[in-house]
Formats: sequence, C-alpha cells, structure tokens
Amino acid sequence: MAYVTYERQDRIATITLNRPERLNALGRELMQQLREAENRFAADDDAWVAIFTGAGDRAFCAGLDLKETAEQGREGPVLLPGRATGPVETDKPTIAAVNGICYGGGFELVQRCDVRICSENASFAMAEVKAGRVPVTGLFTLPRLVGQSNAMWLILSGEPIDAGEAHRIGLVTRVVPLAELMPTALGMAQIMCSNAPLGVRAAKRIVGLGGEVPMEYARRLAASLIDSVWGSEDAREAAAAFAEKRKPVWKMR
Amino acid sequence: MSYVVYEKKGHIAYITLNRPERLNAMGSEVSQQLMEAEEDFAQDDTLLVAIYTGAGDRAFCAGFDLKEGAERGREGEKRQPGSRSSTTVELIKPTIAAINGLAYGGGFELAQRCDIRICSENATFAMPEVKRGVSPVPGLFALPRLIGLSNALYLMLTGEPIDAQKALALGLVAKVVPLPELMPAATEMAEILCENGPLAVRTIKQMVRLGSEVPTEYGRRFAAAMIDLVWGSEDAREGMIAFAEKRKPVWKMR
Repeated sequence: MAYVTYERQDRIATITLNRPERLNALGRELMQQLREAENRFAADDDAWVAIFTGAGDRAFCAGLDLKETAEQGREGPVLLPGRATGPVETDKPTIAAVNGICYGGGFELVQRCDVRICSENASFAMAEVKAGRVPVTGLFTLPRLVGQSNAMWLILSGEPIDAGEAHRIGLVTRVVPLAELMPTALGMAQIMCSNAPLGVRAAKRIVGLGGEVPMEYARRLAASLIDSVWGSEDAREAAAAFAEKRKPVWKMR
Repeated sequence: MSYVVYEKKGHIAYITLNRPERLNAMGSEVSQQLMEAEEDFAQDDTLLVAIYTGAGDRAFCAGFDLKEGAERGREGEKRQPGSRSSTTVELIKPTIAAINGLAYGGGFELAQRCDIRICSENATFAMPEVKRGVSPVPGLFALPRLIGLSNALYLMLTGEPIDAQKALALGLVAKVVPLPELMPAATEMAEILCENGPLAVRTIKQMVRLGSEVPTEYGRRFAAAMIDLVWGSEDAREGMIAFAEKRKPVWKMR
C-alpha cells in the first residue's frame, strides 16, 4: 500500500501523503515512505522543486498517529524522538500546499518547507502539548518562521488557527479556494523552475545559514558560494539572454 | 501601600500593577513588589500560569516613573544602566500579559518578557526611551525576537506609539478584545495552558527561548535529552491513553 506517492512532471515533484481515511496521519509505515520519497527527490537530478500535499479534501496531515502509537505503546518501547534521525536535507526548494488539517508532526513537515500556501479550509495546530508531549523540530523552526510572539501561543496552547490567522502571522504566503490549491502551488513551482537553479539553491542554503549564525559569520561562510554563483556560466547566460530578449537556457554550471 | 496586587485563583496567579493614579508607572517600590510576587509564583507548585495586568482602564504600565527618576536625579543619584535587568526573576512557567491600556517603555518591556500577549482595544504600545535620550534595556533584545528586526527597529528608533490593531498586525499580541472582556479572555487562555501537560509546557518555554539564542543544530542537541524525558514521561503515556479513551488526561508532572 502506497501511503506516500511521488510523481514528477517536468521538473516538479509532487509528494502526496496518501492515507485520507486516517487524515494522512503519521504512522510508522507512512513516515518510512515519506523519508524514502524525500530521499528520492533529493537524489533526482531532474526534479528541481518539490510540492508536499495531502490526499483528500479534509487533511494535509493530522500529525502523529496516536491510535497506532497507543496500540504499540501499551506493549512496545516508547518512541523517543529526540534521538530520531534528522530530516532529509536538500538545497532544492520545497513548497507545502496545505489542503486541510495540519497538526503536530504534519505542521512540522510544513514548517520544514521553504514556502507555504493553503486552502481556505486549512487549519494549523501544534497539538503535542495536549497529549503531554513537546514538538520536536517545531520548537526551533516555528519561532524562526513567525517570530517568538506568535510561536509561543501556538506551541504552549496547542490550539488551532484557521487559514486567515495563518496568513496574518505570515505562516502562509497565500490562501486560495481548495480547487485552486494545486494549480497555484504548481504555478509557484514553475516560477522557481524558471529561475537559475544554482542561484535558487545557493539562496536557500544561505538564507538557512543566515537564520542560524551571526551575519558576520554567515557572510564569510557564504562568500565563496556567492562568488561561484555570480561567476557561473548561468550568470553569463542570464545577462546574454536579457540583452537578446530571450529566455535563458540553464546549464547548472 | 500595595503597588502590586498578587492573587491566586486555582492554578492561575494574577499580578496586577496597582498605581492607577500614576498610570501604574514603575517606581522602585513597584519593581520591588513585582519581584516579590514573581518569586512567590515561581516557588508555589500549585500555580501553573501567571497573568500580568494593570489596575484601572487607562494603563497597563506607563513605563519607568520619570517623576521619581527626576527627583532622584536632582539629588545626584545616577541610575546604573543594566541594574534593572538584574531584578528579573527567571520563570519556567508560562506568563500572559493582559494589556489594558498604555504599555510604554519599561511597561512594554514587562509585556515583552511574557510568553503571550493579548490586549484591549484601547491599548497602545511604545518604546519612548529614545525621546528622552536613553535606550531601552531588555527591549533591545526581546522585541526583535518577538516581531522581527524591521518592526522592532521602527518602534525603538522612532519612539512612536502604535495602537492595538497595529500590534495585532505585527504579531505582538495574539488577540484584541473589548476592555471588559480582557480578563475573561486572558483567563480562558491561561486555562487552556493549565489543561496541557505541565512538563511539556515548561520544556517548550525553555527550549523555544534557547532555540532563539543558538543555532538549531546546537539547540536540538541540547534539547534532545529534555525532549526524550517528556516523551518518555508518565504524562506522555497518560496523554496518549486519555486520547484513546476519549477523556481528559490527569497530569502527574512526572
């Protein structure tokens, strides 16, 4: 059973959580397949941008599958996420197209993406605290995305917010009707694909670095990467294409 | 005279700045009494959340009492910068600021120290230190973390006030409500926090603040043991079983 599907059209990979009868909850199987899909995207040279979404019209992902965890927890060992392996790292941009409920671990997946849009019926919550747990990656990513003030209420209360509130706090860049969600996400992905891939990937890596360390160090560490992008064939091609009023052809070097 | 009223109702502590005739301005007496209330809140195990507010319908806190400062200044007493930051009680329990009017300078900084802020429609916020030729102290660091560098620099460099709606737009407050609904709304938020796993709540507060100070890689490494502790706690198991049995969890704080 495919709990996660990976489809690629041209340069855009769409990774869909596909367990709608359980609101795409993160069970052990689904998490394993999600990791495989992310590894596949990272390794797929023809895929430049990934879109994450959920199957069905109710949920993006309801978070950790508490039912499954409860069944296993009564017998097996407790899952200790602090020791879990980190997420798959990639320099290629990712877009979350949030099509409904987006809670806990599902919300954390969305926070890992670079850009977020959602449908009008979407809702977001860091619900861990209601089950006596703490978020794992969200403790660090959410304040960076929406500031400490907005993040603290979400993480300490566990209460959901709707799409409008998500837009007000800058969590999502756009809210669209559900039927327009995937077309909008694909349009955004196409815009990224039309940009020079070396530049896009360097930018993603450097913005991520800059959010972590003092600017002075970030600039020093990023300097050679920035130089290599500015000195690339693609940078020359962009200038030539602009002068010749044509679309640039990227060679990724 | 009690410049700070400290009340306990169930698991919630209410800390009210009570000097309305001076817009709850922060003199040395107020600061002292505020610290005493915070120390008690930190130590009382029955208390889970604190709500800060101001007496009256005009001000949360107008900031440091310039009149008192001026009197002392004439007598040649110089305020040592940084001295007031040493009077901060570190709290691992969550705090909510219910801002009922003016929140200026040190009053605004008090609200910034809280984890969550809500305000009434008549609330206004300003960092006016710069208008008096001085700089904010803890606000220099707290405000950019709360609302980003661009918004924070604007507020601190201009010293100009913003109203409640603008504060909501900046993400400074989670909610704006009419003044009579302020304390009920703050209490409702506090009750939500009280119902959540207390080990989890306290770990979150500390880890989110740590995470804003150090690179994520280090933050996650420091946090791993604490996160495991929470996920492996009796409360985590109880949370899961209560969910399966569709009842409210009973927390044991272990």
